[in-house]
Order: sequence, then structure tokens, then C-alpha cells
Amino acid sequence: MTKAIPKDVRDLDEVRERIDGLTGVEALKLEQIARRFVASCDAPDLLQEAFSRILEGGRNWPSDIEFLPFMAQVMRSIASTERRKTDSRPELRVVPHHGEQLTFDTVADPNGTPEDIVGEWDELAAARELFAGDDTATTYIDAIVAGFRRQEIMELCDLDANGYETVTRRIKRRLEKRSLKDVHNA
Amino acid sequence: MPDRDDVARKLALADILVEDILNMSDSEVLAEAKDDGISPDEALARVKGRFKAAETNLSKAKLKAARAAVDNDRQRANVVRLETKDIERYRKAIRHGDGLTLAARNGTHMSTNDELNLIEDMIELGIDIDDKE
Repeated sequence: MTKAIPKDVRDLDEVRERIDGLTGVEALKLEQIARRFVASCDAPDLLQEAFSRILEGGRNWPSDIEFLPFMAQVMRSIASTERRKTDSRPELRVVPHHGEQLTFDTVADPNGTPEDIVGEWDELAAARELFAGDDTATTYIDAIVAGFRRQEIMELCDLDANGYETVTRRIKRRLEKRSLKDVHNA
Repeated sequence: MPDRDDVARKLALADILVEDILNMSDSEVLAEAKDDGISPDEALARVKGRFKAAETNLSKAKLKAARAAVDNDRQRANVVRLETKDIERYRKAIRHGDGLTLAARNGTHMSTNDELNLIEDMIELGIDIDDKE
């Protein structure tokens, strides 16, 4: 039986039309968003997986949400789910005993699958490393991770609204440049 | 301090930065792309290419599932294999009405195809006919 599509979501023809009408700026944003959720080498796969979920009907595009925020939600959901899976999965692999091909041992796997790479990739660690000598940026990052709100972070870092935006943009730019460097080095 | 799980903590910074990306103006995005040496047209081609790839993969998966369903039907259709000696044994029983119901005993008035279908049904139902010869 085919799954009924709720009335407040857009159908696949509308999704295809939206993709047809996508602009270069929107494509740049989608690629950047993907690079914020997973390692840069996995970002194109994350984007494709998001498209797959939408085409398969696993995720419906609500009528009251713009396309880019919706795509960001889908990509975040995939990244979050994969991280949870890898966090709870024991990393084991099967290896033959010495000189014996028919019996095997399981040991910790040093080589990651694509899902492991999603789980192991940690933008926070990368951000802390990049801003190691920058007290304002590291305080800002730690406060966000701790769940502080914008106003609290501004007070904590002694920033006004413009200062907050500037720090956010500075962190985003440095991380993006690092991601692009990783893509070139891959 | 809010109680947040590890995955949410790991994604907290990404969430803030993604919000910033979504709020950027076209001119800001284009200026950054120029600074990074990224072409918007190439980005557009890559994104559309990924959408096309997702569509192609989905079509392939559907085709694979359809083929598997057809193969499954074929296998089911081949469950009853009639051997010549079995056909003759069952045919004799049908025509003589040996231990069979009235409906089955009308075999003498059946076409060859109907007779074969009846034999298939009997085998499928587990009705065995003793070979008296």
C-alpha cells in the first residue's frame, strides 16, 4: 500500500521544481551546511542521502518551511542519527587466527566505515584547536556547547550584538576554510 | 546548566553556524565564495548532480525490487514439477475415478490442459495416488 502524503506537505514534483530552480547561492549554502554537520569529505554524500530520504518519502517537505531550512533539518537529522548509531555500536572486526583460516577473533576496528567517520568527526575539537589562543572564541564555543543562550554568551564574552555576530562569522569562516583545505588535500 | 546529550553537544556549534549560513545575504555568500575560489555555477552543478544520483539510485532500487518480485513469482510457479510417469499415474486415477471425488472423476470429459491443472492441484494439495501397476 502506498503511504498517504499529509496535505500540509509538498509533493515530489514540487521538490523537483525547486531543485530545477535552485540558484548558485543556494547551492553554495547547501554545500556549506553539509560541511558543518559532517567532515568535508562526507558532505556530498550527506547531501545526496538527504535527497534520497526526501525522494523515498522518509522525509516530507512541510508547506510552511522554506526549502533550505528544511534541507538543513534533514541533513542534521541524518548526521545526528548516524552519530548516535556509531556511539552505541561496538567497533569490532573479524580477523583470522594465526595460521588458521577457519577460526576468527573479533577485535577493535582501527579503520572506520563511512558511518564511523561521521561519528568520529568532531567539529568542536577542530574549532577548539583553531581558536586555541583566542579567549573570546573559545569561551563562545564552550558556552554554546554548554547550552547557554545568545544573551548569556554575550554577557559571558562581554560582546554586544555586533560583536556576537562578528565572532560567529569569524568561527564559521575559519572552519569553512579548514573544511575546504581538507577537500583540496583529500 | 541544561542537560544535553553528547550528540546534541557535538552539533550545538554546527546548529548556530548553520543558522548563520541560512541568514546570509546573496552578496555575502558570493563574496565568501569568491574569496574561497568556489564557483556558484559549479556548486549548482554538483548539488543538482547529487539530486540526480539520488533519483537514479532510487529507480535502480525499485527495478531491483520489481525483478526480485518477478523471480519470486516464477519460483512459486515452478513449485509443482510434473514428471511424465506422475502424469500418467494421476491421469489413470482421474479417468478411472479411483478413490476420487465426483468432480475429479469427470476427468474423462476434460481437456488435456484441464487435466494437467487438476494433477498439479492434486500434487499441491498432497493427494497421493498409489501406483497399482
